[in-house]
Amino acid sequence: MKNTLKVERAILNLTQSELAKKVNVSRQTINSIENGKYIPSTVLSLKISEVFSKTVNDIFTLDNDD
Amino acid sequence: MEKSTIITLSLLAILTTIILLISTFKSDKRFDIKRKVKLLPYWSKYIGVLLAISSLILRWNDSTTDSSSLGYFWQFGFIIGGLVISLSKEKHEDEMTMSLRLNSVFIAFFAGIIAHIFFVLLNLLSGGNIDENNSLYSTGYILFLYILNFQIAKRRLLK
Repeated sequence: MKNTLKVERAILNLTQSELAKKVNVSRQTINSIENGKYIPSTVLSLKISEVFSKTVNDIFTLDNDD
Repeated sequence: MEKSTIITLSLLAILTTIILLISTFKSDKRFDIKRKVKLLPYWSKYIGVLLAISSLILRWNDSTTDSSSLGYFWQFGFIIGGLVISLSKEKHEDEMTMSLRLNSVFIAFFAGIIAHIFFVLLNLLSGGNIDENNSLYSTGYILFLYILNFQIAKRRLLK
């Protein structure tokens, strides 16, 4: 699964730690999501999309392998 | 079958029934892993590390206490230390740490059973015998408990 988390974060000028604090997870979790190592749950995806005021589909998209 | 084996198996059956009854009464139909798994606080990990390392150092320094009560005490110290580390929370507990813990438990559990069976068979092939109470039965019991718990959780989710 691909995501545009890094881009969205840059647009809002948010650091990984700040985003982590907003969605109540660790900075490592945000880093793992950005690098595609961890696929977040539906709840976390919704929380992230809420921070960026976008839909989940705008941030997370399916890869060819999925 | 030996009398001690029958007693052990009966005790395990009673223990399994009690665990299953408690888990059935305590939980409602909704399965929530956060509510189901209660872990020790983060700082208890340091106690576990201290216990495990001190046990290792003491065992290293004194290999003559193998069969004495002190020797057994430090063997237990190492295992209890490991258990405390395993059951302690992470500094930042979130869904990723929970997912990682679940994966690790899964791998460790089945890898442990495969390794255990391998060493028991190796011991058997090299002329040793199977200690019924301490080896295969205890592994079988863990396996049985895991399968039962997993099936109950799955059925509860599908209801």
